[in-house]
Amino acid sequence: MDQLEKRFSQGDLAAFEEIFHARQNEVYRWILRIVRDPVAAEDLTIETFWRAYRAARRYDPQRSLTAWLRTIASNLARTHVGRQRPELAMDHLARYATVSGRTDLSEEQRRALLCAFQKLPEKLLSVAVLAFVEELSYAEIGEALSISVGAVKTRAFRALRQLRKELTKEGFGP
Amino acid sequence: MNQDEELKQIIRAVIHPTPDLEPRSDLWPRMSQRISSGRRWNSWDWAALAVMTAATAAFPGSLALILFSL
Repeated sequence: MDQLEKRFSQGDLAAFEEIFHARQNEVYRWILRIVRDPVAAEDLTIETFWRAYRAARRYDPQRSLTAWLRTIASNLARTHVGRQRPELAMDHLARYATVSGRTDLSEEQRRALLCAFQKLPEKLLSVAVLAFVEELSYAEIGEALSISVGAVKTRAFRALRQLRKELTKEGFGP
Repeated sequence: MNQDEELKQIIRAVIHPTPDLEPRSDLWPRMSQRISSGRRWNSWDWAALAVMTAATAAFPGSLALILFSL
């Protein structure tokens, strides 16, 4: 068992600080993948560690600290995504989409896809972003969102189906 | 290429993965501040205590209910 994690689980603030410094970037990047908003990701990183700090005595040092932090971070990030205004969600989805490998897509098609994405319920949106945009494995997504691989597959399938339906409604769509 | 693969390709073309960014600065000072403020009672804590005290004074029988819900 890692001594640092054991000390953390006993409520040692110095151990917590060490863990924070070692893992803040990792937690930040994970949250950013879900919320796609760098400022909100900073706030949610602090909230994640705050909750971890408060629940330190309930943390089992035998368990992976990375997985535990990621679960807390995912729950907070998903709640944030579920609450944000639709127009803001669309901006965040488009944030890193300034350069495209495909030039055959019109501006209307891009807009329609972003719009269809933004209409996805949060459960499907998080899985769709992590699976199709970030290209993470279903197992990794399942572990972070505390759902089975089967549930990830089902949500990914439903997300694709809903996206296609929305795009077809707009006159696009494969 | 089947329809699902084509749609995934379009998604990747329109919505790009997040780059490996880091917070704009070390977040520890904010974290440390949060820990310090979390240890102090905030206005909501005081308000909740005031409501419970008033409820207990007005309806002594409610004490059992308050203790039960804690």
